[in-house]
Amino acid sequence: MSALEQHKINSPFKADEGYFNEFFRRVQSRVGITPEDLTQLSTPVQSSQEKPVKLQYTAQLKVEFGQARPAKYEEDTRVEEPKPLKKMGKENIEKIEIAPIQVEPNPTPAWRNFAAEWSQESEETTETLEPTGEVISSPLVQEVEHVEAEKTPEIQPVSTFQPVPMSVIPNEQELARLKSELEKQEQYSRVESSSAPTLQPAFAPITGSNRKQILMNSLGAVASLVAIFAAYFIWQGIQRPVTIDEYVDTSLASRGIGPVATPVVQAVAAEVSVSAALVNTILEEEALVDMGKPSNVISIEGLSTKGQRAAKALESYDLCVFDDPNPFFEESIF
Amino acid sequence: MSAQAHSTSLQNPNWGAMSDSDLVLAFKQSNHKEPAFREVIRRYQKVVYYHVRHLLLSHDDADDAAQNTFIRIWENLEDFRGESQLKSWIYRISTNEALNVLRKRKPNIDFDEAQPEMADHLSEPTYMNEQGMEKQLQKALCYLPYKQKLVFVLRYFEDLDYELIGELTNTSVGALKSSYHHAVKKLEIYLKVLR
Repeated sequence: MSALEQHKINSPFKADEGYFNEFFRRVQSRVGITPEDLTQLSTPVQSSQEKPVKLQYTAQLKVEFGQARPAKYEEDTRVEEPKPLKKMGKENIEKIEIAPIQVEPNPTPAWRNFAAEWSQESEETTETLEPTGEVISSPLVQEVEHVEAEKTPEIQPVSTFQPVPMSVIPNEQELARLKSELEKQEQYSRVESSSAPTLQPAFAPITGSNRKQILMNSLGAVASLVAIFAAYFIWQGIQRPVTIDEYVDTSLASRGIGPVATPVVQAVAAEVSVSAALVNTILEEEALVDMGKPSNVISIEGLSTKGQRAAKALESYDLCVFDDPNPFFEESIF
Repeated sequence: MSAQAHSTSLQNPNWGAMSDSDLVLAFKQSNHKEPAFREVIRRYQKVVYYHVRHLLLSHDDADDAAQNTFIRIWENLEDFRGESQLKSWIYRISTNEALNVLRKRKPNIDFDEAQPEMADHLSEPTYMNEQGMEKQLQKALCYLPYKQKLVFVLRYFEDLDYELIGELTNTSVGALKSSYHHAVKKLEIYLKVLR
């Protein structure tokens, strides 16, 4: 265990209880709940006596660039200190009022009475076929028809239905009349729905955007292909330039031809070395020729008679050159 | 706790004795949301404050980060699924809020490097004991990379176990132990130098 762990050093930070009480209240007020003191939480709370508190949510209309999150709550209520505080920024909060929703009748007649259309479709799909090919309506269809005849429509048709005043409790006659009117209305809606167009109008506003989407998708695919080709050409362009030798080697290798045979290269090198040696020899000989007076010439000056005779003997054996301008000396020896 | 037992306990709740998971369940009920939240603040405000104060050193910055932490808790506790402990979740939020405060001050901050300039905040005496060795350690901590500092603070000052730290930082226990060990070695050297 290290020294730091053996002798633990505590944290130097120590905030007092007053700060935490004040922090507790500040957080509650920022969040929008009724602030209570920290001391009150020590006792059990009677939840049955609590009133449901409505949370105040306010929306921010202005979006200020640089804020970490949208401001929903009240401004920070911390007491200001002499030093400038580092805050997230002033939060502008405004209340918005939502206008009550006003329901307007559906202006598009083709969309009315979906219930009738769906009931007709369900009738068509529940018809079963006998093996002989005759169409026989199933008991389920009859039950559905019966139920739908009794059920009042949820969507009121626009045109011909006559509203019945409901202030008076209807008697049997009125009930029958109501029933007949309902049946007429259902027949009318079936006739209407048979001539009504199919489900296309529900999707009509979206069709234009479908074409647009397809066009955008195709443009995107074309752009990606162009980008791929461009990247390929750029990659080729930034490759290291190939030297001529490498190009020759690779092209020859691709044709199955190996590199040039080394003996030819060696023979050429040998020729070069021989010619170089000859040149060197010639140069050395020229240097020798240019050496000046040969070193084996013996001059008569300073030589005694005996020395002269010895030099003459050497000369007879071609070992030196005796430099004697006196021709009579030769005759005196021999 | 069974549903029936839970509803019975909420009729006469003793918030102080409630477990974290029950507190979360109580928060998700509209009539117990506020008292449950007050209990969360009461239970974790000191933990959060000291944690962010160790990371930021400045009292003002720590106060901002701590407040923002509890606002985040208020906004998101309803969606808390209980996959981790509430304590770990709160620590994670408070660490992120501390990072946000640092990013605002230094937009291009590199958390893999040390921030020795943060030691300037140790000259502010707000809620700080002027003990030499304790202050020296805080100064030495500024010379650690931020991530290593975080692991050290969580382990040394807040006594969290490695499993919880791993949950918080998405790091393995082995890597955390190694990071902590290196941090201790470096701090011992820095403390010798700073003396």
